[in-house]
Amino acid sequence: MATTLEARVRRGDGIATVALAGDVDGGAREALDAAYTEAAGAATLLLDFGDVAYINSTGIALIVGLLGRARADGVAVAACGLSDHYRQIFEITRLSDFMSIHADERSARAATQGGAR
Amino acid sequence: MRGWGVAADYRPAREVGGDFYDFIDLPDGRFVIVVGAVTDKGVPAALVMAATRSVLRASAQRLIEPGAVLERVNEHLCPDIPENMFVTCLYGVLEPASGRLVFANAGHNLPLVALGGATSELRARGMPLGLMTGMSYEETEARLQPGAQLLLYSDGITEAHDPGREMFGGPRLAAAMAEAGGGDGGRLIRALLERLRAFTAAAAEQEDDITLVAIRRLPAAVELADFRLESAPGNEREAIARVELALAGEGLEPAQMEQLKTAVAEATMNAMEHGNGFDPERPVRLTVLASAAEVRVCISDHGLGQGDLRAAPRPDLDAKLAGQQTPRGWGLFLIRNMVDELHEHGDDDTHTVELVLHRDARRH
Repeated sequence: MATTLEARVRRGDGIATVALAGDVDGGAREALDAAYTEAAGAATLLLDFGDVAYINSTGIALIVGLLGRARADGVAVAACGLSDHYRQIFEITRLSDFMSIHADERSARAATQGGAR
Repeated sequence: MRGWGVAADYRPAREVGGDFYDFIDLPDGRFVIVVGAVTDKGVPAALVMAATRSVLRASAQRLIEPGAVLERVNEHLCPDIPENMFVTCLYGVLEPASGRLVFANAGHNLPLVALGGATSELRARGMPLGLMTGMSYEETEARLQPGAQLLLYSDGITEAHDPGREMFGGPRLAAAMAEAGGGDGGRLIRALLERLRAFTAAAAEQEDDITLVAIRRLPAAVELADFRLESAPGNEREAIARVELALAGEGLEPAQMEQLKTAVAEATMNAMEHGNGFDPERPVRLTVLASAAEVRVCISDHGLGQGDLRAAPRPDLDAKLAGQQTPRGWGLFLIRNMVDELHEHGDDDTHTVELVLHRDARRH
């Protein structure tokens, strides 16, 4: 399946922001894996879904896989930029119990820096 | 009966009961609906019930007018019925094409009609059967609109008591029916029985026979799209784009549209992968139907289905995060949470999943 997701990693203040653009579906595996590797060492991984138009069940599975790895590695995961619809899906799947959800990157950074640094 | 949905449930308080219901096809295409109750329980009531039912069946074929049928049955019952026993009965003749219902009532509970969140009673006067001869029965006419649900019931539900001896009552039944909303009659009956169970709570045993018959005139639907897609990974995007286009003029709330798109994507992925094994020779077919009450998307593949969609277990996120369970398995869970109704049916070579959204639903 063709890659349909771009993931760019920016680091700063112990937070690695992964700016996602495209679709989080079966084609997103490589981009998410590469971004996770590139973000190694950060205390918090912030997934920015601001430019994501589509997430399906396979994409949810990839996010669950990434979240599982992060928990094993002691990395906190946060998310921002979700549309109301996908925010609802993160809630009913309970993903939001395991990652803090923020409106945008600024509020995510403010919340994260207010905590452990 | 094309364009109609019929569901019924009968629970005797003892092994044999005195409630009955019946559906009779008339030669001219009309359809008789009967619900009745004998004022007693157990074997004597069951015998009177059986006699009443056979006289009703015979009269239904000879007489057309509901009032005349009840008069005839009353004359038959009066000489032989045991003392202190009588029969209440609601007898209706339905014309499926127009929704016209003509009915007469021999002292039975008044039927309820629900449409668009409101319920009303259908009234007709008449004495119970078997009390005295020479009775006449008022006939009333009603028209059941597309989407309307007709509920016939026995007093086993309205006269059930809670532990404080309060009766369930007609208003509570009407409110429960309105609350259950539109849709499938079987679902309505389950919801009503559930409500009754909650009400009677600690009561040791069912007091009386309970009969529920739900007859629904299906909403008139217009087909907005009918297309096939090759079973190939990623083609669910094409499916949701075309469903969204087909429904563009339907005025769905944006949030509802997003929910439907997710459900369509997941059901199409299942159909392409599990139903058709990504076989390019086996396309997935989608149809989009809209009526005043609902939007329905049907997704068909050539598989056998994957068991009961509605019974699929909820994914266990904790187990998945701990690596004890595959991270996958979210498709059915998403579908179930995105739509108001989920149905599936199949025959020898087609399996279809139906996703239904209610237009009046207040969601999440």
